[in-house]
Amino acid sequence: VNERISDLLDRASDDGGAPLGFTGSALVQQARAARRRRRTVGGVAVGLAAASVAGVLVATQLLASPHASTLVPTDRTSTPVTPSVPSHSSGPALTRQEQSVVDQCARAHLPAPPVKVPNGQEGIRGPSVGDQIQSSTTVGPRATFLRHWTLDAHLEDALGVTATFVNPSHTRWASCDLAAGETRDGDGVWTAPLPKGPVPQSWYGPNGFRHQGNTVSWSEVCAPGEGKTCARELFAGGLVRYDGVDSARVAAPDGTTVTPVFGTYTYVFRHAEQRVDPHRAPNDNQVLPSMPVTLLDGEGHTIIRYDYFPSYLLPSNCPPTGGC
Amino acid sequence: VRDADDAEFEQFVDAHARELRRTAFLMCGDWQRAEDATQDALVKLYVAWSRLERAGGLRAYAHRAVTTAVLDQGRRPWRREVATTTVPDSGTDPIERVDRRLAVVHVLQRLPERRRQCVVLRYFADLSVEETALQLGINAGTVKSQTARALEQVRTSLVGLGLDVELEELS
Repeated sequence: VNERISDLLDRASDDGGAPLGFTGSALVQQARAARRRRRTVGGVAVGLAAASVAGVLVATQLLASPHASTLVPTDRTSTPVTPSVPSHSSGPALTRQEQSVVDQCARAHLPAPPVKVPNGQEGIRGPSVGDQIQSSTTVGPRATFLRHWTLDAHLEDALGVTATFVNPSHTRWASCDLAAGETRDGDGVWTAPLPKGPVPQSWYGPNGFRHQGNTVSWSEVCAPGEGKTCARELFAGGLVRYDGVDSARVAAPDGTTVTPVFGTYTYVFRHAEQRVDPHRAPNDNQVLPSMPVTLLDGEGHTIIRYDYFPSYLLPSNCPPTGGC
Repeated sequence: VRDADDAEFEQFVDAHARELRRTAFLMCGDWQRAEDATQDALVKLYVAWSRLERAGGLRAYAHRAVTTAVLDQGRRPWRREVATTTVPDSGTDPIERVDRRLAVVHVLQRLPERRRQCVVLRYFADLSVEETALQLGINAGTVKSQTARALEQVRTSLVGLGLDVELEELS
């Protein structure tokens, strides 16, 4: 096949019309903020030159904390600039409970890496050429790197832990979901790039794959002696916050309004309730109940509303309980 | 930068940012990094905006800034840190590698930085040999030789991946 290199490059870089995560005016604001930051950080540096060692340590901790994110030169306009709710952690000053969450998540496992398998063996068919992959093991390596990431938001109850982490350069995030006392399917840690910019209006990224992190996990909560179908169930999730999002309301299947806990970049929630549909099958290979979430800005205005189950944007004419 | 300059800059971003993001993607093979690099480059462009020559050179300058931003990004230590963790959405997913489109991206990433800059600026950003030389601070002969070697390497690598590709433009 004789092809022009320019055509090859053009097709290889096809972004599918994906919108940008920034605008010209946002960049102007970012550049101006960067200039102000340079002045501020410069001022701090001059002050530190004459400070004691103790003073330097305090300043270092301040700069390392998520509350000082507007002072970190690598920040972008697309990160939330003024989180209204303090995040739950900062590297140097974890509480015992926060340290316990970090320890638990650092012992959890990442997903197993995919490996290529020969044609004809069982695996997952690739999108275009019929290649196949499968997991080499049931679990991947332990997420020990989380000890060096910032705990962004977390919730722990008698049933387990849901926590989110952000890497030191604020470019990746990790979600950690663990059951208390024992392992269950779906336990573990996964990481993904930290999305930048406003809440996306599409759940599909430029590479055609679905945007990550827009649904939540589900599990049964079983009492001793219960049969296959248990009376209670747990919904838990760690999700990306996006720009301008200040709070969220999640409408649980039993009618409860759940208020997630917000970190600087992410939010988490956990909600256990009596099973609303007693006939639903005891696994998640089924339609889970509608669970709409509303993301709100600082003034309480709705930015977007979508459903975790299934994960799609809700038309404005849908009822507040979702399900359309 | 005055308000009129701001408006002009915003128009430039609206008109060229997606094309610049595609250039960045060809340089790094990762849309997230491409978007970051495009933002970095455009912020730097804004800072220099009032000093830049408008006639023709602006677009070429922006493309060069994006390729440089990608290379700068690759030199940051945290990229190495990320590479050590097993992530589910890695750019080296075996499914993607065998896809023809992404094979091109994969091959580009294996080019030396200067050759990759030359081939992307010449054949995607559509800069002339002279414009490429000016932007990269090298002479036109070097652009030609680096581009020719890059194309030969791309062709050989694609054939090595089992793709039946002849590249029409070899200089």
